[in-house]
Amino acid sequence: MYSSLLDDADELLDFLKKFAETRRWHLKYSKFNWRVHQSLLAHSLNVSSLSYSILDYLGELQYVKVSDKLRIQVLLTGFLHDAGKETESFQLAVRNFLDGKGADPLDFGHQQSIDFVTIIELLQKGAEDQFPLMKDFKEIWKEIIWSVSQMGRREDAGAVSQSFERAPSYDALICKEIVHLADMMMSKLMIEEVASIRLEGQVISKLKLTYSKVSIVRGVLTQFLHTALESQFIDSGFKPIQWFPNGTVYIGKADSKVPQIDSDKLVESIVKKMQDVLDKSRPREMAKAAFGSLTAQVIAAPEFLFANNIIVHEFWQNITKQRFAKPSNKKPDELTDADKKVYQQISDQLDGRDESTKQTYLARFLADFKLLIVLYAMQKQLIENVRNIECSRMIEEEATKKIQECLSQILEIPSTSIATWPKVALQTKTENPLAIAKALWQSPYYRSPADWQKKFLEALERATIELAALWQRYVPNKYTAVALLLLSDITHPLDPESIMETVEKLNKVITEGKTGHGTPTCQRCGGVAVYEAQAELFGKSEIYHDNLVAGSRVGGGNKIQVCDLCEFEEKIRSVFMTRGQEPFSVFYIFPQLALSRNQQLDWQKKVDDIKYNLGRFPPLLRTNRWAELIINGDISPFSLSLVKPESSFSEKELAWAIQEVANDEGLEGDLSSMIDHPLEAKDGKAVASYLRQGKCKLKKRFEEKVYETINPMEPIYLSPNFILLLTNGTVADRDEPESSAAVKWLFLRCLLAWLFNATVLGGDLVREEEAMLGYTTIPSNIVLKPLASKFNTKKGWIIIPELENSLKKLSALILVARELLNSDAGYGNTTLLRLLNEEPGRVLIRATSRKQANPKKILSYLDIWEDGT
Amino acid sequence: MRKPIIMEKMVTDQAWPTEEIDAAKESLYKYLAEYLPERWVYTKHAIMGPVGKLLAIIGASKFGDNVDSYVGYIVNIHSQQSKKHLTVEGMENLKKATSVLIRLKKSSSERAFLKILNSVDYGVYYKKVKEISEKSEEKKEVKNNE
Repeated sequence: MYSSLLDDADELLDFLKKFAETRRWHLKYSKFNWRVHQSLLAHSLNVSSLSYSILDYLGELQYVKVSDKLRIQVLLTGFLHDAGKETESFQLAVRNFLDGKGADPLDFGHQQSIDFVTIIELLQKGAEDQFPLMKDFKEIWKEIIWSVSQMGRREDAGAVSQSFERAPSYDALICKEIVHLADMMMSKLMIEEVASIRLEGQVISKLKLTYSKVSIVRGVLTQFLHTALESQFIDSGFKPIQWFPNGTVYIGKADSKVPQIDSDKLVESIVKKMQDVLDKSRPREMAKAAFGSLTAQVIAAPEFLFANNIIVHEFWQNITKQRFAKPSNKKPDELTDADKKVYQQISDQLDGRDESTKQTYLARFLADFKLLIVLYAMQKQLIENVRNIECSRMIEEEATKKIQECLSQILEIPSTSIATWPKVALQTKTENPLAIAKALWQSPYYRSPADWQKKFLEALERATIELAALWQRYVPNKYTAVALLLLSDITHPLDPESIMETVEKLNKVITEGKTGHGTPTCQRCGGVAVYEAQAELFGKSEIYHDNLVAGSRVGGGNKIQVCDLCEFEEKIRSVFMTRGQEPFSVFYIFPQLALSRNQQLDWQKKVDDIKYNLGRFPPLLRTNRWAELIINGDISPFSLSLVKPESSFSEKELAWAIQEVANDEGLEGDLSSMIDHPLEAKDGKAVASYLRQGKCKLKKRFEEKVYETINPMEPIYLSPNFILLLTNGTVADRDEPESSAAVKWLFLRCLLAWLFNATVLGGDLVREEEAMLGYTTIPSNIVLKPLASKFNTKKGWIIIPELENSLKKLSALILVARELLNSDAGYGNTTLLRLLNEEPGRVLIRATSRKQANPKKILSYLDIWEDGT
Repeated sequence: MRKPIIMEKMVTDQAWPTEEIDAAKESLYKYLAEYLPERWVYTKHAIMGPVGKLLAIIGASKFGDNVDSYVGYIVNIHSQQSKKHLTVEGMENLKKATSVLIRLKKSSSERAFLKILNSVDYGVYYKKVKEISEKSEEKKEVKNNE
């Protein structure tokens, strides 16, 4: 019976989650202190799962004989251990305490059986209805009541059992011990507090807890670091069982030795992970991320480009799809001044040819010249990145020679002509490009544009491969350098030798005195700044970035200074975006306090559901549609399935995405290869129409890409500690001000918090001392002040009991704005902002003044916005 | 030297009197239940009936702080425009709302009071429109059931 239940563990967990949802556990407090708050749902599920993991481990070590009954009993005891906290009196006491009006509610108060017996009985009834076999094992529930009421108490268990008229069973005793440990572990504020819990008890005294911890959560890099640390502990016989954003708790035998960090092995492990995740799995994205822009830094990430030959190939495939790489015939009066000069020179050379030939030659040359700019920008990056200055001259010569050889051999151009080329760059003087043009014309392939394009691309690719070989030989491996720097983020376990080294270094600084130069610090993490950040990496414009002194404009020396790690973190994020560009916004999904195995699997499933959303629900950034679902109660956070399933993507949306993918794949004009039936399809519209009519299906490879394009977001979940969610687009409408869009971003954060039952934060990096007093923070913009009172926020946080209310109110606000704008009664781009302060009656009269408006709808939304009901 | 112009004597950083505003809205809304115009028109002016007038004269301080005068003025309008006579309870509601508003007028700056009046005005209108909408829904349902 039990084993069949365990086979359906997911079903059982879903049942528990639904039970908790109906009792609103996600809106009730369980743990609360000055820095972190945790909902009753998060705590119950985590304790339940952690207890299960501990029992599993004890079973593996054969310290406990684990039966299926015991497994289920531990799971349920963990889930129900704080059920008594759901009472209104306890919740009120917590709220009063947090408001400074009352005393801290007693930690044992909720363990009076009178408070939770009814809940357990209800759960029993529900469980027996859904899993009829449970009816034969009623003793589990009695034992759970005993375990919960006795948890954490030191009285003689046998004596206490008198009141239950029977001796506690072995299973009940084990459950009490394990769940109590799990409860303590899931209640600690900091990771080191978990590891220092005294393990006293019949079985848990045979165990040992230890941890790994980092000082700062940087994002993707920290996930690499967590994974590498985890693998070292696993190799030493420990098992990871609990995850904090900044560290992991491991369990092992009491006599096992905590491993000392082997730096070399750790670096190797991080580098391998990076290579697996980046170079091998995402060559196309790496190639796209490597390219900056023709007018700024052409090669934004040379370390990505030169990683391997596949990436080089993808890079040039991507470049040739760019508009600048395609010849475009223009009439002389449409040309820029610089191009006119080039045209003049070309005309002189082609004296006697007709005008149209001259224009074609010019168009082809301009496109080719830009491709050469990209190639020579690679050479520039190679030279700049060679640390050894003495070598750089030699490498420059070698690189130039290699480029010339490749071009000369493949294009069959005399090398002497190439040797006379001026420096190729966007700034090349307009008089000089003629030498290049004349050299290219000497190629026998130049006469046929198709042959030329093929050969020229081959030459460029070969030259790049040669440069990549030089890069790999002379430039230190970036991944290794980054991994070495990352090691200094580790705060536990520390190698005693490295501590001594740091102390000696500090002593040296003190004894020798200051050098007088000062060290520029990274404006993001406080490390040693070595880079002037590219504008691309920190948003579209760095002119008025938050990290710069207000009012000062970015000039030569006034740029955002960042360290190696922050710069690389930004680059690496762009690799996860489909188009290799920088993400538009970044969210951290953090556990409230810590995460357990089952919750981690649940997160993983949800993240996959959201990412590979095949039209089951709206794209994440379409706030209007999500708002509708929330208001109509059509979606449940726990199953993430719609009450009324229907395709959430419109035909127009689908057509656009299909066309985008077709363009990306170079299939313009004929999209028939994207579908599984031989139908004629000229564009995305035609394919979308066939799909709607059910005449065909998209091929698997294209299907994934199309839905990825519609849903432009990328979750990164490489280690279980936290999720990093990057978005490719924005929730803002065209020309909508940032402050107004901030309301929609807040809605999105609330939605994620609701779906994941987690704390959601925006921003670049997170330090340990940051408080997490609820589900998410509200924007600090003064224009958005009314939000604070509307949502009863505390210290800038949407507190646990207010999440659903806030989500509904925000949904209503977004929908009122949409209705007003649709009926031409909006306040322009700032409609959302105006609605924050506007009297609902005034909004109503504005709406009713337009015939298209639907006052009934607006009235119902305004009601929710005002009262949250 | 020209005398400086004093724009505002009150402290501007006042707490918003949400509770009093809600009380005034509620009383005026209850009063409007007794106002039955000769012919129903759904403009804001018509929906608000004498309440719109009351808010305007309080804003203009037509009778200073004299609550009874305001109530008397509105009762007179009511008797001319409404099919239903005003009950003692209705008059009490009017008096209650007027007293609250006069109290608020004394304790707030001129600028803040105009905002308060605005809030009461549109608040009562909102409640009334909501009621009308609900009634029309009910009617529709009854019709559909028939």
